[in-house]
Amino acid sequence: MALETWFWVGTVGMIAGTLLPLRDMIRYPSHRRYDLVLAGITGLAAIAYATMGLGLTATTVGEHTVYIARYVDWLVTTPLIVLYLAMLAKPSRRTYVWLLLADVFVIGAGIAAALNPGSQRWLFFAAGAVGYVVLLYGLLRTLPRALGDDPDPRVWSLFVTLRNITVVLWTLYPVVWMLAPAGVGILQTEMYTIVVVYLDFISKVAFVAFAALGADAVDRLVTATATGSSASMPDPMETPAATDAGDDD
Amino acid sequence: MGSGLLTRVRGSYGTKLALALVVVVALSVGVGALVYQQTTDQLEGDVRADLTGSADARADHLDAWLSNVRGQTMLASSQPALASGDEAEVEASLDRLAGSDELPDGVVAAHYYDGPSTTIEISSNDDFAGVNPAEQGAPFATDPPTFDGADDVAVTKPFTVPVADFPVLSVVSPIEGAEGKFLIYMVNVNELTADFDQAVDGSSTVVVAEDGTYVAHPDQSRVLTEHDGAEGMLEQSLSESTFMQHDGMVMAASPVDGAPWTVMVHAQQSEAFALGDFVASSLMGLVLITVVSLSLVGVTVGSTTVTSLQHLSRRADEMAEGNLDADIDTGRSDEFGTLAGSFREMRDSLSTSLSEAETAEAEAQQARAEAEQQRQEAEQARESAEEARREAQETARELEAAATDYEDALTAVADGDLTRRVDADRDHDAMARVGRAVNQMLDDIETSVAAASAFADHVSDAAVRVEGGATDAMDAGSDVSTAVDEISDGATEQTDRLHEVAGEVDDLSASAEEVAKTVASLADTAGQAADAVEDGREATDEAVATMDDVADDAEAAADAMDALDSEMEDIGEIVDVIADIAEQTNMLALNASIEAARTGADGDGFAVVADEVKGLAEESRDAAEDIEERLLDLQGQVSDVADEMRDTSENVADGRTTVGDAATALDDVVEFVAETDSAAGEIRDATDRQAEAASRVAGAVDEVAGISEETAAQATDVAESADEQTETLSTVGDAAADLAERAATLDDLLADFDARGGDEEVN
Repeated sequence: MALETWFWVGTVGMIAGTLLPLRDMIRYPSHRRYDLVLAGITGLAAIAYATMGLGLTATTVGEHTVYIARYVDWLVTTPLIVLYLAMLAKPSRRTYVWLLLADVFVIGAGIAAALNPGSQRWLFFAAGAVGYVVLLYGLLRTLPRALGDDPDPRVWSLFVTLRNITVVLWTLYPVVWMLAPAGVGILQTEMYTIVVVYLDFISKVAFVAFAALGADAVDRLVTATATGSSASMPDPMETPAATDAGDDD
Repeated sequence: MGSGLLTRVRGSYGTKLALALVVVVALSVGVGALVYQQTTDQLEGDVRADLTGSADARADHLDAWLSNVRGQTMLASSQPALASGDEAEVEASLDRLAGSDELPDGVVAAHYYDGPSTTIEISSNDDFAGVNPAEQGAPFATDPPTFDGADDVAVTKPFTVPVADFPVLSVVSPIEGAEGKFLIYMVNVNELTADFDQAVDGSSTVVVAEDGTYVAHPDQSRVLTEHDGAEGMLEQSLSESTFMQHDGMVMAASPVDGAPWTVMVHAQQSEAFALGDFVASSLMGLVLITVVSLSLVGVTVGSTTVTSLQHLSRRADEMAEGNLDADIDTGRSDEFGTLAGSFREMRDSLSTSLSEAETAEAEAQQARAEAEQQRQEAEQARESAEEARREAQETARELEAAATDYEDALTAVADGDLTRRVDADRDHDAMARVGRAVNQMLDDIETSVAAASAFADHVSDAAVRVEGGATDAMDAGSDVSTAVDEISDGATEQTDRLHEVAGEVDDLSASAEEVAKTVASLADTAGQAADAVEDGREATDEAVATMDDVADDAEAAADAMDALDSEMEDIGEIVDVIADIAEQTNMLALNASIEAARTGADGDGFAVVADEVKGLAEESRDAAEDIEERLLDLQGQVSDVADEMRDTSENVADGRTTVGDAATALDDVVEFVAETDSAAGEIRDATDRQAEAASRVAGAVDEVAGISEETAAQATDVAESADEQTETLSTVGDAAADLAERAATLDDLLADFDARGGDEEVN
């Protein structure tokens, strides 16, 4: 099957994944901010896949084709995922900033590696890996600490589940990338496309689906924030300029 | 380190799950690798077989073609027309040969070649006619092969000539019967390999000659160029079927028997093994999708399970620490939700039990507090009881002391000490009143008894000393005694009544419930006392009457005593006379005895008489002295008796007044009894007040009762003492009788003498 077919499959999957947060946005106006971020993750990915399905942004680098839309998608949606995790943990504003910067750095390094045909790409790959280790530290250490010693069990459960989905699946991306034509080339282009579409689907739609299933946890979070002092908590709506940036794409 | 890791794995469900998933993934990768290896092995075998088969087939094909072209050439070269040397005939023969259907593939022209001049004299293709191959560089011309005979055929190496725009191969055979003439089949080499099918996708077949040049090549431009393979490989492939992979290529080679050639089938490794790569890619993709899926399942199941378990575990810990307000909610409806529900139920049950226990504890606390309060109240009650008991003891002691005091006083009174009084200054009002009443009564009794006693003494003494006329006095004394007995009886009865009162008081102390009855009884007793007092009063009246008689008798006795005295003086004078006579008789007897001594023997009888007379005189004198003495005594006594009788008379008058006073006192007693009655009412009131405490002071009250009983007993003793006193009073009577007896004795004694007027005076 042509690659475009798989891109369209990805598009449909992402659109399906966007329905859940859109429904929740209507159902729970109190945590619209959270659902907006979730909708941004799959919605922007759907746009990116539709772009690739139309054959746009395909660039040949060396002997293989690179879809710029995919990297732009990642550049926008992965910060949204990190942002959502951070919004669950409610860390300091500083933490928001450096987590998002680390994520953008990782994807940026990935783009550089993908667009570079020579062995330099492995340098970028290594830089991205280092950035990813920093990001992992943030997700595995900093954010749980921000949740405190005795977090709300539902919030904790939701955070851990989403965090683990993210950490485990994201860790598979560089593995797949190394096996892909851009890497050692064991995976052929179509299979690489299928695997990445599947990975994208799981890491985004499954993430969004589990987040939507944990809406009651967000409810508690919003209620707790509304009742408690929110002075020390940065307003999540102030941070996600990424949502607007995504719309511009 | 290793054991620590093992412990960590054993202690974490998430790690175990992750480990299990990693094992599954590793297994998938391993199976994938195995499948890949087997597939590539199989694929390599297939590729090798395909390529080798293809090379062999082509070598055989080339061999067959060579045999065919050799045979055809040899056959054609033996045609007579060619040997005729006639140009037209040769040309016609050549054209016929070239146009023949049986002409081997690739033969494009047939030449009639003259060896010595190295010129193609005639050709089926006019372009070649007249061409000098040696000049063109054709090998058959520049380096002519040698032939064994006319039947021999030579195949040249491929070559290019300017006249042909394709690589050429010549098959040369000498024309039989024409020396120096050769038939040459000119073959377009390209057509030799044009029909080589691609045995393997992307494969190419080449034919290499032993000098290392390509005989055939898909890229026709490369024909006759230098083979770019290794020399050794070429040599090997010229002699046998060869298969090798080299420099990204796979190659199978097979030697051609009919020529020093080898057919090589080359294929790009990537293309030859494209299927293997695809299989590897697919397997890897499958593994990756499996990993992704397993990761998702593992992460979600593991994370939710671990967080749920951690939550439940933490809540269980909190519950174990006593925090039952913990929120147990996994938000799940599966077994974890059920487990959480069970936890909630357990917590609620625990909470209920705990609250029940707390309630019970609070109740117990309250009960304990109440018990404590009750204990304090009991303590207080005990203290008040104690106090009441102390008070009761105090009261009892007071009562006891009072009773003892009363007892002592009454005992003393019973013993005769009528001066004794009880101490009526008591805190206990009733007892004080009783004491005062007793004292009052004792005063009266003392007065009465003292008067009566004195009176009786006087009567008794008078009776003893009065001879004859003392009988009346003795009778009177007896009457007095009787009266005194009656008084004594009255007093005894009084004492009994007092004892009863004491008993009532005792009862009063002992039982508050019986107070009313006891008080009523006390009232009755008081009435009885009043009656007794009345009796006493009557007795007193009798005593008064008797006393009047006694006074009269005493006066008469006194007068008699005076007469007796004067008579006694007369007796004295008589006795003096007797004494003088006795003296004179004695003197006479002395003189008689002196005379008798002078006379001697004759006077002995006389002397004896004189001695007897002397003895008689002395006895008479002694008797007279004795009588005088006794008379003197008697006279004194009678005088005293007379005095005393007068005194007695006065005393009786006094006694009468006193008895009158006693009667009045008895009236007072009646009043006191009435007072006692009202006092008993007050006692009852007091006892009523005491009753509240008295219920717990039963023992003390019993003790008081005991003491009261003792008091009663002692009161009985007092009564007995009173009886004894009464007896003592009767003894006084006896003494009076004794006195009368002694008076009678005196009377008798006096009767020995001739008392004057004694009979009528002494009675």
